[in-house]
Amino acid sequence: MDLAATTKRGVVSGIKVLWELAKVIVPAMVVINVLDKTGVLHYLTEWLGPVMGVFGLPGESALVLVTANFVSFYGGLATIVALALPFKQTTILAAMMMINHAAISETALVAKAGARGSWVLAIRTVAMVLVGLILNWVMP
Amino acid sequence: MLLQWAWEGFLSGFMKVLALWWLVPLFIAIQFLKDSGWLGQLSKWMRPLLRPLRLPDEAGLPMVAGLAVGLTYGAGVLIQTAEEGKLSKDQLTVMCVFLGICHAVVEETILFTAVGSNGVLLIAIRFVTAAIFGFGVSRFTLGAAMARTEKAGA
Repeated sequence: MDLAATTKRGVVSGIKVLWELAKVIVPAMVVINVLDKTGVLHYLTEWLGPVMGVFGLPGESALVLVTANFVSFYGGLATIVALALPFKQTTILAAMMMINHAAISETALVAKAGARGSWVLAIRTVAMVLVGLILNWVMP
Repeated sequence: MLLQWAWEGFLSGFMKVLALWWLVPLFIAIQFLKDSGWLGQLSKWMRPLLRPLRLPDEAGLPMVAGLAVGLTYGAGVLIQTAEEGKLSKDQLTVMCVFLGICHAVVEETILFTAVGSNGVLLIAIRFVTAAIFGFGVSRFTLGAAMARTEKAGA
């Protein structure tokens, strides 16, 4: 094994992949910031609020899912902490946002890698809803 | 106004990419694994997970990367694997369904445990969900013979 050649190939493919990721991540962040600042996310949260009851969750918990999906995983996590809900509700919300988060950038990445992005997003969304319903049903 | 918001988004996206700098050392490490033949070993360990999903051994590396460090890094490795043309679009979709639901298990579980949730319970829920949906999609899109043919062809 030629150490220099191996290192060089590693550096080249690392930089190439960074560039490919940049082409996806930067536009995604532009879209996300515009959605946030124009108030679109705020309306989405208000609209989703009543739906959250299906999962045994209060209306304001919609903010967690909207933040996790349109802003970032960390944003969603911070929102869960801020809401300080009981254990069962926290677990349901956490499981839901862990299954589906960063929808815009992660879907773009998956599509960039050559998979069917819309399938992956649709299945993750269905999985999130089902897990939320089942947990609300089975958890004491 | 709109232009300024777009610019802010551009900057935060740029910072996000800069934060991914350690993909370069990661890729050097992967190149060493590849050239020394250790990669085959790694993929062998992943077989119990790959076979039920009807995925070939080539899916082992992106699977490990995605599960261990996250979808962004996993996608980095995945882009590379896809460029080498070793996985079909359907195989990539099955893998991304699984990894999409269950990834970065170390970091994200630690974070939730740190804020007082039951991390072990959450990771179990996630893994089971990923396994069920990944299995379902593989049965729907990948023929039974496919994984074997891919393996024979590799």
